[in-house]
Amino acid sequence: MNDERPDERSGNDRDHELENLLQAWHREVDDRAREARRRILSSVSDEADVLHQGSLLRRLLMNRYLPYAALIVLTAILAVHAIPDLTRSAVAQDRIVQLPEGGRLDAFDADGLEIGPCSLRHTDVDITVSGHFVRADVDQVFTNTYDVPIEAVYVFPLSHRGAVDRMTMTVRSGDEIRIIEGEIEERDRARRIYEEARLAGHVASLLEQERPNIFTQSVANIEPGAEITISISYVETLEEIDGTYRIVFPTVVGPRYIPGYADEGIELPVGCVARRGIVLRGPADLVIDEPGTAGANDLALIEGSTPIDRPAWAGEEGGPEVLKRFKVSYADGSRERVALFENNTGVVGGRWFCWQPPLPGEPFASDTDQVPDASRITPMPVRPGTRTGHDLSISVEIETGGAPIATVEAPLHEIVEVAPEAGRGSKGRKVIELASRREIPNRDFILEWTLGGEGIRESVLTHSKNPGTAYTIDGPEEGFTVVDGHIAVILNPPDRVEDSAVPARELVFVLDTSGSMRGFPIEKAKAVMTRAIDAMRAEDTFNLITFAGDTHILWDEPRPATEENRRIASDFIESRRGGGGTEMMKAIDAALTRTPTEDRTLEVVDLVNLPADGREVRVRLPFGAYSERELEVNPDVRFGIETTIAIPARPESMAGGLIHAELPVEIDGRWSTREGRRVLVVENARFFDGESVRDDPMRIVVFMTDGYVGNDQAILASIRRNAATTRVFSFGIGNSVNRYLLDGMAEAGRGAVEYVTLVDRSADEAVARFARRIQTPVLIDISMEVDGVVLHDVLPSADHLPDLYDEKPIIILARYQVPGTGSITLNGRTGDGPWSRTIDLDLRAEAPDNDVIATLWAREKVDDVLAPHLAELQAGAVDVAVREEVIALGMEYSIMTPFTSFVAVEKTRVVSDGRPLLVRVPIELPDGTDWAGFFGDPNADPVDVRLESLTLGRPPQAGLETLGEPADLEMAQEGALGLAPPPPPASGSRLNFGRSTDLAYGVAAPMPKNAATRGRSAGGGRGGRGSRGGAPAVIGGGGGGADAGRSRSSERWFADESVAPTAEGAVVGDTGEEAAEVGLLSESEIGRLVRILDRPLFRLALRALLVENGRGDDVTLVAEERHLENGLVQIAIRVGSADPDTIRALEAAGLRIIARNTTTGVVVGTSTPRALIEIANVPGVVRVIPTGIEPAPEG
Amino acid sequence: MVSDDCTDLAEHRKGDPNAFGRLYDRHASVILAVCTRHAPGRSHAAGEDALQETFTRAYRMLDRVLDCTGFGSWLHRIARNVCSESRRSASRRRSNEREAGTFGSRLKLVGAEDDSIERREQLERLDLALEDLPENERLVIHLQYLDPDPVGAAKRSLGLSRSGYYATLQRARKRLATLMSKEMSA
Repeated sequence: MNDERPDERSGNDRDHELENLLQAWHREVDDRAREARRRILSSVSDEADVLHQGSLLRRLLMNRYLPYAALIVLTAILAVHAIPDLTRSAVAQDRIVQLPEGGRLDAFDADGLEIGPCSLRHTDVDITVSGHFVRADVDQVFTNTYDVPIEAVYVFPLSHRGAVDRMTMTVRSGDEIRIIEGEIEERDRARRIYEEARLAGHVASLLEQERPNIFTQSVANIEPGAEITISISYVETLEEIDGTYRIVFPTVVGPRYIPGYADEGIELPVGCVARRGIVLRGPADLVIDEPGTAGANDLALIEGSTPIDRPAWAGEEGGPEVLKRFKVSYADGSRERVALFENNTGVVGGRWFCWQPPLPGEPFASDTDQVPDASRITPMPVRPGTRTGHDLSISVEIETGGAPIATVEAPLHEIVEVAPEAGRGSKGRKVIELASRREIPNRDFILEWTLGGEGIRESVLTHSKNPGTAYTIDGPEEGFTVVDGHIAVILNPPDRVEDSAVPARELVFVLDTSGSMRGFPIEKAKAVMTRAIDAMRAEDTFNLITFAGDTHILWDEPRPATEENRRIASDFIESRRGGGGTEMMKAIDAALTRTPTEDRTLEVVDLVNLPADGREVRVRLPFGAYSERELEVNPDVRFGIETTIAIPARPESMAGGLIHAELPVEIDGRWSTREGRRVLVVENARFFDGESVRDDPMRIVVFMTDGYVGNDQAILASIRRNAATTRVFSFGIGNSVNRYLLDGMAEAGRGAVEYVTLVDRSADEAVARFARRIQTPVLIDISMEVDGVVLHDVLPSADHLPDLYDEKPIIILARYQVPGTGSITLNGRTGDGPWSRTIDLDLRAEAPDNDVIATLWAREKVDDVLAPHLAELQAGAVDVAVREEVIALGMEYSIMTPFTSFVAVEKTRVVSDGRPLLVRVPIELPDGTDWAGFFGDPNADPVDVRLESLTLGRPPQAGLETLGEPADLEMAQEGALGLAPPPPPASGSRLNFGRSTDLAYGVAAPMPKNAATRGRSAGGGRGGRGSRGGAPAVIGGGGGGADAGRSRSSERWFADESVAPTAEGAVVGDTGEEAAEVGLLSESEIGRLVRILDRPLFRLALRALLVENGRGDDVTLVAEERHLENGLVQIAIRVGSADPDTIRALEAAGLRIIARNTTTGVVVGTSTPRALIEIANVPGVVRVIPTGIEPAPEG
Repeated sequence: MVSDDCTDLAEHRKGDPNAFGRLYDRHASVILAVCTRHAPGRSHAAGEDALQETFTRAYRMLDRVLDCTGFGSWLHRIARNVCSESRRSASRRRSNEREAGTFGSRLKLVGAEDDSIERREQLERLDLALEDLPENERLVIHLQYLDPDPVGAAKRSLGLSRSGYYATLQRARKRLATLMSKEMSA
């Protein structure tokens, strides 16, 4: 009945009606979505068409690492233009060797033709220090000497503490100069504005923040002959520690190690199936019958291709069109025909393959699951002896406000003092410049100075940009005005007071031994660590951890700092060498997650949120619960208590009392799960008499690293999460370290940071400071009280005031709305007892000056908002609310954040057809670091390169702390075994580096002769699966990869097809023949072993066999010795199925299994060389390779 | 269906021109429901614009989808971002241009032209009631009617178990009924 009121109808009716309505409502939405389908898909398709620009580039766009690739018509390849004349160019300047006039990088197009020099010409930095604040103006001058419009992309560092609040773009073309003010926009929107401008042919620039200290500048449509200056400005607070003032201007982004798995790879065309086997029969040369039909790049494409089965369409009509036909020739003079098809497939001699199109200007690392933006923070540096072509000048003006400047020093640069302008000279003002205006940007610019007499005075600064709104309220007050005010309070710290009563300490030293530390940095780090160990007190305990791709822990438990233990530690340190990846997260876990009991004693109600298994906790609970072995948090949450301590001892104070069920008991225990039930395993228990017993030593973890990792934000999040009972102190070792990470580690771990440059003469001073810090902090338990006025958004927030380890000013930033007068008091404790300091506040309604403090507050606030979400930020999955809060701050205060960017567009002119040539600006290798540490030994045998890459993804060796994840093992082994299509790579290592090296050097052939020659002589990169070696790619120049790529490919050919190897293979042949000759193995047995055992293993096995039969003296295979450790070789075995029978058979054959992955059929273990033959003969074994063993410690 | 998302993503990457359309068909309705709710002014046009922007962005970033099983929830995140951006820019525009009144009219129902006035009123009440639902309940309702695999989608987007999904659905329906009868008596 229609007139029936809803509430009078039956429930069923109402439900039915609601159901009908819901269906109708949603049907309507569904219809609308369907109606919009055609329009939306065609709009998407239109955009895709515009962006993709044809089928070849379409694949480029689909590669997510190349968001810019859509509009590229040419590939910029920067290569060594001229080998520097070493007799002329190597000039030593204050311990820094540089090449002022050395090789210059020029850009080459995809065909290897030179098209001009590097697009970033110069960076000019003007820094003004005024009182407590620093303002830096950075001018980047981009030029275009090409004859086509270009887009320049430059990844560069800025101070991680700075608030970037200004960007302008100055376009000079002929006599015309236009200045465009950059506007802050939400990041995605800014990117859209930029891309639209680029498509429209306008000059545009975009500044994006990748990390607080890494930025990307993109400048589109730079006309031929034009010059564009991008001016960036940031502000930060002046750093002062123990009376020394310091500014740091970073100049180079050190090559980051990227952990995680890359998910990209060659995408096989529809209908193509990867196969095992070869593509080319051996190292091949191009046969050019008709000029212009094929280029050397095509050969490189084939070398980096993936073998596939013959596609179904092959030979049929209507298949893809042939792009090119040509021939290749082999060393034996034979030739084969090649055809490349438009769908990225090809065929050579009847063997089909899939190739990757050229990748322009690619960064050296691919995005991974752990670092989704890896490709944005890993610009490829130039090779040693080569210059990027741009240089740097810096000028610093220091204005102290009166106090005379006593000393000024720049530890890493030569500086000069500029005479003051007339009438501006004073003792409290100096202008410092770099001695050379063409300095190489490859190390931090650090300027330190001290003042004579008193330092900069304490101050309270306010800023209120508008007069506010007046309100009148009832009562005695006449009214008040609401303003948008900001305040900065800068307080000098108390003097350090030494306290002799220092609690017991446990120190864990963690040393980064990754490839980036190779050379000077690790030697410096060892020196610092050795001195720090020497500086320990006898009652301290300590342990050592080193990490690269794996984590090594010296002892299971910390040991006392006895002479003997120090000596063992010292030997351990000395045995470490720089090499491998930077799996810092594993080291963080190893060092921090073994935390002893929580700082806080948990009450029973706190246990609703169960800590993870293995986590140690201290819980206070009633004795009744303890004796009944069951704890009830609430009716739904109960768990067991497992204890062997029957009745805890009563303290003296309770001796006379009765024990009853309500008496509190404090227990230390560890969470565990027993048969699906959570239990607390008690390790210690006592009655609680009001005073918590805590006898854990103060735990201090000391990290020594350069911080060259891409997952820095995740690491900071992990430290924040896990450093509950541990203080983290970081030592940054190097001339251009990742200060964002190192500062952040200390901050998150409530410790302090120390930087040691490679030119510091001795580690003593740094170690002395460290010892002083942990001995007695300057001020602890700091709290804050505000009287008389109300401050909002106080930073650092009152409950996060960090302990002060150094004598440095305490800076408090806050907002206020109501003007007035009052005071702020800081309380704390020094070694001498309580300390307190009060300073008056005058919050003014109108204070137009000091606008910088509003900017600094906003910058701090962004950090504060993001701090609990760094892991999500790293993963690119920040909560919408957090993101919006950051965007709101960025927009309101006009500052760069991870989610806001500066964009500037010059709309008055169209200068290109919207398809500028992409030129990525190369960067310098950080000073003091070793190219080989990142990208491999330039002179290494390419086979070693492959093996080296394996050591990075290898499973743990005996005695190692961490176990690589099965997937890691799987991918590493699969990549190495050549069983799977090479990508995706076992990332998380310098594999990324290695791969990029392949890319960078895989195109030697089309380069100018000198470049190619140099490249070949330098040859090869490190790591890498060598699979995509052929892609002609990136900036970074040089050749060499062609050889490397071929040899790596050769390795695969030998492995898969037993094609008779050439030069190197002869050795194998000789040994094999020898074995056959003496009748130890038949030719077919040798053939099988060659197929299954990797070449070094084959040689080891044969040698063992020959030795066993008295022929060992004739065989010296020194090169293979390095695979042995204690007479054992560590191997990875690919089996058809890792079923129990196979595993048993492998063990019976002599394999000692370390790890296995039954899903992927990879087994890792050790065996004697002799047992390799038996292992290879186990049914189901497909392939055996060495996993690599680090060189044994010397002595 | 999860496997279809994965298949279609893979097919798209391999160059299948129809794969993206299939992804659209599977998710567009729910996304439109979300967008209509969150777009500025809550107008049809704004909702469809947001839907278009969501799929355009998704298309640009398709190769960033690491976990194909979470494709739907990833789209939801994009949609929410798109809507919040347009709300912000709309509010900027309003304050700049003082044109607060010019925004798209409120969601006008819905329903075929031949629906009776009463029917349209009921649908409008439902629309208002949907607005008052907690976000997770509203999404569950939309998934129930628009997603081919609502339980799976709810698990991925809201972390709900199967029973949790049905409990939420029931709660949402109950709340809707209450809200609508309140609306009626008001």
